[in-house]
Amino acid sequence: MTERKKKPTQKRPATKKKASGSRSQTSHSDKQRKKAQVTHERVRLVPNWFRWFVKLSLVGLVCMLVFFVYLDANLRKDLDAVQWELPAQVYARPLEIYPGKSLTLGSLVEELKALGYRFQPHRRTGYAQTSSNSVTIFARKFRFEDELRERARVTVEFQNERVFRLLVDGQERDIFRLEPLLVGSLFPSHHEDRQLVKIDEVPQALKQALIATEDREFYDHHGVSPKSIVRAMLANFQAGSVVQGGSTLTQQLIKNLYLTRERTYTRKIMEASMSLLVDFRYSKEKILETYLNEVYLGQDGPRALHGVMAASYFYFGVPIRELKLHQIALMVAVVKGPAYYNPKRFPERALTRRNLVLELMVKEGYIKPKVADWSKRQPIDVVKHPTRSANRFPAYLSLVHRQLKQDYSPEELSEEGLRIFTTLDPHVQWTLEKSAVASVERLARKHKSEGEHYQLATVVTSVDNGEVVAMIGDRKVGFSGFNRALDAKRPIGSLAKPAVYLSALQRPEQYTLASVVKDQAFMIKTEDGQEWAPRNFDKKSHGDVLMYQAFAKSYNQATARLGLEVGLSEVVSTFRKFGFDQHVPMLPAIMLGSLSLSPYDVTRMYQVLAAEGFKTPLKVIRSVTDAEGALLESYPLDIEQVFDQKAVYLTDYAMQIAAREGTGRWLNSVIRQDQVVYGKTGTSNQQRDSWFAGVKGDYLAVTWLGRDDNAPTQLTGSSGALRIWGEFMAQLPNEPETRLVPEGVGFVWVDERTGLLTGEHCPSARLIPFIEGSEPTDSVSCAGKTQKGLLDRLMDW
Amino acid sequence: MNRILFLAISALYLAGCTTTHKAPVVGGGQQEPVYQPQLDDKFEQANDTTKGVTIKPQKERGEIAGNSNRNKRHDTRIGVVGLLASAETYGIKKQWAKAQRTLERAQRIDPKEPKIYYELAITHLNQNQPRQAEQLCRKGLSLAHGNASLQKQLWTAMAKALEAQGKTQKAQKALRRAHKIQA
Repeated sequence: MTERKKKPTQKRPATKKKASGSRSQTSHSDKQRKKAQVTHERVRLVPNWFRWFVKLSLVGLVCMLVFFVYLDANLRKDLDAVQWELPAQVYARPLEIYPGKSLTLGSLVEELKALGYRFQPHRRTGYAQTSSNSVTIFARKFRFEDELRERARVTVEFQNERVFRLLVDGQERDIFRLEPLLVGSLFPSHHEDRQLVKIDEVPQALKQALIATEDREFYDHHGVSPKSIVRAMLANFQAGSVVQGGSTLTQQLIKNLYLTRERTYTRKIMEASMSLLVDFRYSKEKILETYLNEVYLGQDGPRALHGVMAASYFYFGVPIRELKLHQIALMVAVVKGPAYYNPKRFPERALTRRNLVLELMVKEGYIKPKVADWSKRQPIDVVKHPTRSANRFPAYLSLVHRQLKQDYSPEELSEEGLRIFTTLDPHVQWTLEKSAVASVERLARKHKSEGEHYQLATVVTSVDNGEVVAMIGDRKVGFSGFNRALDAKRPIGSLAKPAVYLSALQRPEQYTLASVVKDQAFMIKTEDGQEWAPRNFDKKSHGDVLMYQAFAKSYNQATARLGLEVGLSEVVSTFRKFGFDQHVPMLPAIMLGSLSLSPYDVTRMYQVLAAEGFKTPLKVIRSVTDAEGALLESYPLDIEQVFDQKAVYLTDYAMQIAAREGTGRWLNSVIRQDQVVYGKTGTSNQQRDSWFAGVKGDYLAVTWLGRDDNAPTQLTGSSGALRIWGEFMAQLPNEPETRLVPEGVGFVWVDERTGLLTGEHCPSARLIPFIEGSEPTDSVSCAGKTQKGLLDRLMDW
Repeated sequence: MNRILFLAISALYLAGCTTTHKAPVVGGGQQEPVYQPQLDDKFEQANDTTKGVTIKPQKERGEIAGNSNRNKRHDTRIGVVGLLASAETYGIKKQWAKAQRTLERAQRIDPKEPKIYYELAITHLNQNQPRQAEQLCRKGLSLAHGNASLQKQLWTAMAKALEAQGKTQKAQKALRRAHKIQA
């Protein structure tokens, strides 16, 4: 580029020469006089019009020079610094494959298909094959945030819904990372989607097809082709209208880059002049590369497809390197008129032109007629649903966008081609979308009058690192409007109860899961003078119950009494430790869920309960790199212990009982008995909101169901959100139990009527975890006869 | 005499009651699982949260499902082994940020593996981030039940992290805990 800068100065020596010439004239006055006489005579010989012609030509030449210098400056500004506005690319998590991983052949195939792998018996990159228990993948190269992974042949063998063996290029390996799925782009305001390619990544056949069709003399002309212009003029004259253009690829590029679409002589002149300049300054390959990245090739809703790479993904679902000849010819066919030759809308038209492109390639000697004939027999071969469609997970992407906005300007996000690696697990997301939609439809059919207004939101995270793996914010999952998962703040009902029980269980000397609490009506006056008298859902009181029972059956009076006993300030402090920035009012009603939270906020709370009492900010972005792959930002694991692990374990155990035997026991019909599952139902006043928050295996999910107009739903947490949650979670992989009992917690047989120790074989015996040292000391016989503990007896004695 | 006999009998009885080792093995994937969605009306009745349904004793199971292997140690997921090795290589080259990212990748695969938290704590210590190192040690300890040598390492690393934050007394306490562990 540096040599170009010198060019505008080339004219200077000439001016100097003129100047020095005039000086020499003054020094020889005699000669000058003689010369003047001679010239005078000559002038008489030359007609007047010719003198004017020369003068005008000189003026014209100067004007042209100025014009070229102006164009040159403009070109330098734009073409050298080009720089396309590239949308940021948002990727899902990469699938990690390792022996022992819970993964089915079917879900691997689903992911590969989404990535555009073709299941045909070709041993080439971008293809995959399956057998009864294995998948072989010819994996593409991919630049991850931390390494460049080369192409590889990967064989994954399955046994019992798990990966049994993994071979990479014939070698047994313990891990392989599949490239992540592109799930969306953050577009500039003009919605141009583009992914840059380097000229050496472009298949030779694509270049040849383009040249054969659009500009035969591309390598021979200087930016403008007089031959083509004459040929076009003749053709147009014969046809009586414009049937053929004489534009070279360079001219087309100039037109697209700098000029308007109007058909005027001025524009034509500008176009031709700039083309000459560009051809002079840039190599043919550079011009071709720019053309291939610029060319407009179609429309996908508001998204304008620019460049061959974006078009290749849109039409064929694969990168250009993997295109077959007939697909290449089709892409070149589209160049002429992406709307008119749209292969998805007018396949026949596009097919005819594709075959013409193939013929032109034969004519130019690029391919043999036989090859062209074979390609002509191929079907149109475009994918119905583009694998990289724009923003297929709107709720999730809105969250990504929200988080990115904190660190990047809108221009950086939509113009610099950032690569954003998120935590989205497409498999979980697809499962959630399919399952939740089906469940809510079923519920809606049951409750006809309210049903049609049901709305829902679900957030799914990975238990130990707070990564958000899936999310929906609307019953219509593809709808990108109001995101209820983030923005619908609703009273959480009994979802608040774990905060009360956890507050109590942190004092093992006073409270255990087997402590007796009273489920009895009461009334208090709050600080603001209001009367507060909580009632149970069934409008009954249940007397003395054990803490775990009160929790599992979600008794309001017992919970409120417990909370008041422990202290409201203690409960509020527990809420704050969950990480709520918002004001938590000192009102007893918060213990029963008067607090309004979004599903996302509830997830933050339950995340702490699911992760041994460690708080972690929910995470959607793992890292961001620039367009070339250099790491710009990574978001590390960030944890903080906020609760005693043992107290959290007991709270979770109470939730486990609630899920299997209490308000969540419907789950037994959908989730296998060998799976650890724990959670809590929540219902707000008059059944306006139906909630379930819970954990199965490595996943935490929070589901809300309600109406936008906040009217009653006729659903409780159990009959609404729990169903959606359960049917979805049942489909996630089952894991062997991963939750271990913490040190300092032991299990003891207690009598479930009294909470006292009892014999293992008594009918009312139940095994309950206690923080060591907090176990009951008194015991009770199977018949119910109480015996005091050893210490008490010694004291009595 | 009677009193002595009474005391002896009660002691035996209580010892029997508080045994935690005899918990019957439950579920454990032995029976054919029932996990077909059933959306009959009977569940509509059963779902109602507060109709005073008593929780039946789980006699045949002793405890709720899925807790059968509660004293078992966590088995490291295979994929993690190689990642731990490459993190170690980065560590030797003092490329702590790379080591950290590799370990975080391992943590995503096997979040219950305490060794990963220990190694992560070390990378944070080396990057002068003692607060996060301390928390990672705590997380590691919450999962390292029954692994004495790792617990010792975790307490030692925790002492360093606390020391680096100027919490000298707590650091000494952590170090004493580390020394107490016979590994």
